[in-house]
Amino acid sequence: MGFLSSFIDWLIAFGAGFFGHVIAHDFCEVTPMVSQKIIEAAASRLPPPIRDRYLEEWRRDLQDQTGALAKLKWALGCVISTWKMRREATLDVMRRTSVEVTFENGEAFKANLTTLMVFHTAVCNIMRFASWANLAPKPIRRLAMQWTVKVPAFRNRQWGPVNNAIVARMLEVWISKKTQLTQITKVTTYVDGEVAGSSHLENGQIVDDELDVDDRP
Amino acid sequence: MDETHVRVSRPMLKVLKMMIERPLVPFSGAEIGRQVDLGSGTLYPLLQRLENAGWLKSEWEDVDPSEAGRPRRRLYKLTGRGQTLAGQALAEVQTAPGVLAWGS
Repeated sequence: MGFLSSFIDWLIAFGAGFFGHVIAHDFCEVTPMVSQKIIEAAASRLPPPIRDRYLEEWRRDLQDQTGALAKLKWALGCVISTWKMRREATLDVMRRTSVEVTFENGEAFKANLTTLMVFHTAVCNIMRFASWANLAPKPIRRLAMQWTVKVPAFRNRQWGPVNNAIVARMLEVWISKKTQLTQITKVTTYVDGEVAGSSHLENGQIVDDELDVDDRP
Repeated sequence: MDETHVRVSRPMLKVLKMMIERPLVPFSGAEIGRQVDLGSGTLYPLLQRLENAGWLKSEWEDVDPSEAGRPRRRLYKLTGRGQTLAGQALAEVQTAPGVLAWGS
């Protein structure tokens, strides 16, 4: 009985060692390739003007890492880098951009995009809280639904060689759709203080803009 | 805001300290990461910020990838202005009371 028990213990130890070795070996074989793929995926999400540069740089730096685990860690770090660099690029665009909204009575309102976004986020959060706490009347709750469904698309765009006209167009579409204010007659976007684009609105819909068709996002 | 202005963080100081000790030597990202013990998730955005602000310049290693059979390294070096500003940033930290412990 003692012999059988020892044999089973030995068998389990042998099996664990064998399969552990196989798994470790496979991990070491596969990890460099997985790391490469991770880096390619991360670089592909960078803004176009820096995409190729970082892909090549990261590939080379990955080769300089020794050990499968170090390679994987480095590759996953590149994913974090992509997220930070995209965020920085977006913030840069937001800092340089401002929007002017003209109402039908001729009054105009101009704000920096960063201010506008902070305001939008604050309003969304207040309305979301009011809806959640059931404090707001029905129309406000409906408005909250319209405003807070998703973060505006341009926040998550991959900013490339920033085509100012495209930034302008996206903003104008966003303003016309999000605010649903029929009194807005014109939205003009400025990047670095210069007019980047302008759209005319009727009943909250864009009726014309000064963009070439080829430039549309 | 001044375009050369950079918010100097602790990892950034580590990188600057390492680079200012050998200002003429170009370093790859992997090498910087290894020397100052920084992961790629912190390192590349930091290098990009320094490069955009003109503290660092980077260029491709002078090899032909097809001949070498491997991608080129991107090498980073402090600019003249970067050396001055990095020196100032490090001096500020060293004179600030009770902040030096991490650097040694």
